[in-house]
Order: sequence, then C-alpha cells, then structure tokens
Amino acid sequence: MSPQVLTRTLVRRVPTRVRDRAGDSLRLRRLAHRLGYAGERTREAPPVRPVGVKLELTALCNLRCPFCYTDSPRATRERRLDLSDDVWRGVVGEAIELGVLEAVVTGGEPLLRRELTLELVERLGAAGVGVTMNTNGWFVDEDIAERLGAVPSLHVKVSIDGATPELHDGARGAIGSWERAVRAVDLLRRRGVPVHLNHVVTPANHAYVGDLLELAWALGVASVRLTEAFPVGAAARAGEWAVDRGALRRAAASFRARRGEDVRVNVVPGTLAGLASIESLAPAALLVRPDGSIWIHSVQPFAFGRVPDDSLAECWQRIVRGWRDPRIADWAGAIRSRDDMPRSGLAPYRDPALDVTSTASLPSRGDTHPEPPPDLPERTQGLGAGSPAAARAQALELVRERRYARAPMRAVEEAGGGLYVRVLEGGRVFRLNAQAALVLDACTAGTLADAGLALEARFPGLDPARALDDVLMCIRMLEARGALVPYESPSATSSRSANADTNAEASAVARTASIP
Amino acid sequence: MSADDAKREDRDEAYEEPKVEDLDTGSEPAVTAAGADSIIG
Repeated sequence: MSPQVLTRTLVRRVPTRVRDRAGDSLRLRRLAHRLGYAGERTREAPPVRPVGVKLELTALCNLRCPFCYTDSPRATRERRLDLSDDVWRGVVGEAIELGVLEAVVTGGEPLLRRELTLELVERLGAAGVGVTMNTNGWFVDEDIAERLGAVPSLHVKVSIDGATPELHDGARGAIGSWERAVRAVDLLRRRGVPVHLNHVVTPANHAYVGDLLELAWALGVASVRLTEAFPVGAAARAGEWAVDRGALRRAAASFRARRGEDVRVNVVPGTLAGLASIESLAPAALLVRPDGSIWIHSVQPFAFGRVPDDSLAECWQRIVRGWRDPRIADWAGAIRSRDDMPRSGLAPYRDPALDVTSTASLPSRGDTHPEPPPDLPERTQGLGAGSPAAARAQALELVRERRYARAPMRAVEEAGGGLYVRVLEGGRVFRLNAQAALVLDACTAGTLADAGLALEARFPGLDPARALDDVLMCIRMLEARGALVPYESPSATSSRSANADTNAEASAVARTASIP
Repeated sequence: MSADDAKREDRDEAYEEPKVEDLDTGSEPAVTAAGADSIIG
C-alpha cells in the first residue's frame, strides 16, 4: 500500500469529531497533505488550461467590514484604480476562448460597476460558463434581479454577517445593509436564482449562528457558508477573529437535526485549507485582481503576470511551470499557525504581491476607473445584538408575498384530497398529502401568505406561525421537484400558458380516477 | 385543561404537516410500483 493510500485510509478511520478538531490545526492539515492526503481533491498537476477563473472586477466597496479579506475599505479610501471596462471585456473573452467551465465574479463589491458586471455575467452565462457572483446585496434592485434571473446557471452568493440588522450592520459598518442584503436575497429568489449566503463568523456574532441559519431557511437559500475571519487583508491589520469552530459545527448539526438538509451548511476551513494544501494540490483556476495581476488564488500573494500586458494563456503557462516556486513554498512553510500570517510580511491583500515571474516586486498600477469611488459610510458603533425573532419576522414579511406558478404537470386526485403528480419536465412522479396539495393549489393562485391562510382555514386553530413554517417547508419540496417555479422567473410565463392545457386534461383524469 | 384547549388539541391532532412522497422507482411505473394500483387498476 502506497503512503498516500495508507494516509487516506487512516484519516478516514479517525472519528469525524476528532478529524474536525485536527482539521482546525494548520500543522496537522499540512502534515496530512505532505503524507499524501488531499481528501477527494487529489490533483498532482494543473490541467492544460484553467478550469475556472475568478474575476475581482473592482477593489472598491461601499461597506467597511473590519475583517474584509480583500481589504476593500482601504482600497476605497485610497481611491485605488481598477482595470478599464475594455480590458475586462478582453479578459472575459479570452477566458471563454480558453474554455473555462466556471467563473466567479466578485470584488470588492462588483455591482459598483453595475453595467460591466451585468454584461460580463450575461456573456459568461450565454457561453455556457457556470457563473457565481458575490455581492453584499446593497445595489440589487428589481432591474438587476430581472437580468440576473435570466442568466442560465447563475448562482449568487450574498454576504450576511448577522441574524439581525444590528449584528450585520455593526459588522459591515453601514446602517441598512442587512435590510438591503435580505431584500436582495428575496428579489433573486423570486426569480428563481439559486442564492447562497456567505457568513463570516466573528466573536461578535458567533452566538447567533443558529438564528442566522433559521433566517437562511426562511429566505429559501440553497446553502450557507460559515467561515471565520482569517488574518489576511483588513483582518491582518487589527482585531481578534478566532472563534470556537467546534461550536460552529454543533450549531450546524443542531440546525440539520431541526430542518434536515433543506439548506446545506458548510463550516469552511477556507484559508486554512488553502494554506495546508499549497504544495500538494495543483492549481486548476486563476484569479484576476482588480489591477490585472494574476494570482493562483486569494490565499497566495504571488503574481504570475498581469493583464493586459500578458494574456491569460501566458499567465496560465507560468502557473503550470511555477506553482511549486520555492519562494511560495518557503512563504507557506513559515506560516505554522493563523497568528504567523500577519507577521509574515506578505499577508494576502495587505501587502503588495510578490511577482514570481521576475525578481522585481510588482509596481502599483491601475487603469482608469469609470465611476467615482463610493464614499465610505460613517462607521457604526455599539448597535448590540438586536432581536433575532424580530429580524426573522421582518424577513418573513418579504417572503410571505412571494408568488409561484405551477409547472406543467399531470395530476390525479386522491379521495382524501391528496394528489398524484407527474411534472412534465423531467418526469418526476410524487404524491402530495392533502395539506401539500392545498399548498400547491393556494400558491398557484396566490401568495405564500395565502397558502398559510388556506391551511388555517382548513384546520381552524392551527397556529399561524406553524402554518407559515409548514408552507415554507412544503414550497421547498415542491420547488425542488420542479412542481412550482417562482412567479417572476423566466420559466414561469411558459409554465402558466402550458398549464392551461395540462390542467384541463388532468382534471378530466382526476374525475375519472375518483369513480370507485 | 379547558374545554377550548381540548378542542384545539383535537383539531391539532387532525392536522398533519404537508408531505411530498417521491414515487420515482426507476423504470417501474411509479404509482403502480408504490402499491397504489387500485387507483388506476
């Protein structure tokens, strides 16, 4: 048995709880990787061309999080310049030509460059590239949601750093940012866009992770990524960021026990894992920074060239040849714990990157920025924790008004009010009990709140909060099976017209089937 | 327990949360495979 296989076998035999604990240690993670353990992500050599590309369209942001890994508040204060629109268009064109499968569009806050971001997301989506866009949600309005809703395979990650406005706004430095983020999630979900939450766990909000997960469930997001702030970027300048990761995993487990797997919860080692695997996991993607410098990814402050002077293809070849550069290995090897990072003198996003294509360090350079940088908000202080219940109720006010359309289906009624359903697209067949059938009917004609009222009317005395909770759960199940689509999603219009025929036929079948 | 509470409890017992049961069973006709053939047979 090879050392690699032996290591993997041994690691798999370690109880999950112990493995989780060990995984919190950079030294143990690195040791496991050196012995050949790379989990399921074994990759000994980079692919011929990059599989993915991460595009930091701007260094700027309208918020001022003290833990910002890209140190965007500082870039904003310095009015740092980004690549021009035309250069970004060229980068995206080349990435598509190179055949990338996935792209992450991010910042700073990418929607500060609203038109450029939308144009590039649409172009990537139209080319068949899977796109993920990161945003703080502040600028997402009906128009943006409409355009993003039409992009095939788009996923949007919205940052929410607190279960309450007080926690989130306190962290993000701007009053109203929680409300805007929650509204963004709602606008996107109404159009069927899969939304994920990024939640940075800090000593200020870690006690409320369970409440955050409940908020995520109510909003109907697909997943929540829980990650602690690691000392890179702004977090490398000041602040204590360590949290009890065991407590996070317990909060996630408790949520799963309560809500099942409706919302995937990932407790992400993030930077820690990236550092541990630096020597053993070959790169598959590249990162284009706002100034055009090309990195392997966010953890490694090393540049392999710069667009537009160098093409992505040239930079990728340098990465293929140089990802094991001894300067990178030396730097990574000297970081043995999270506290070593700020002391390393080369913290990603805090210090100028080292250009590994030459002996020179990167000169600072930027192109013209088409829009003036935003004014940073006055720092908010001392907001407290607020009330998670009140915050959830506020979010539910939005969610209650969501509407859905019934997908084309054939259906046969049961005598007791249940329903057998076959969704035409995909052909899934399932049975709804009477309550689920009631929700399907009520949602087709009205809002989610109407469905709750329908349940209450059918079962007098049913607690309205429970009714709404059950409607939310039911809609998740129906949406997951393609039986309901958000009313404002592009596919809803065709669903509604196609249903006119199939429902008429289904009614006829149902009548026949009900004859004893 | 008051009479109202008792009535409410009766009603709550009648309530069952919405359920969706998948009937996909591969190549078998799903409804028949789930033993519900009396409905269509």
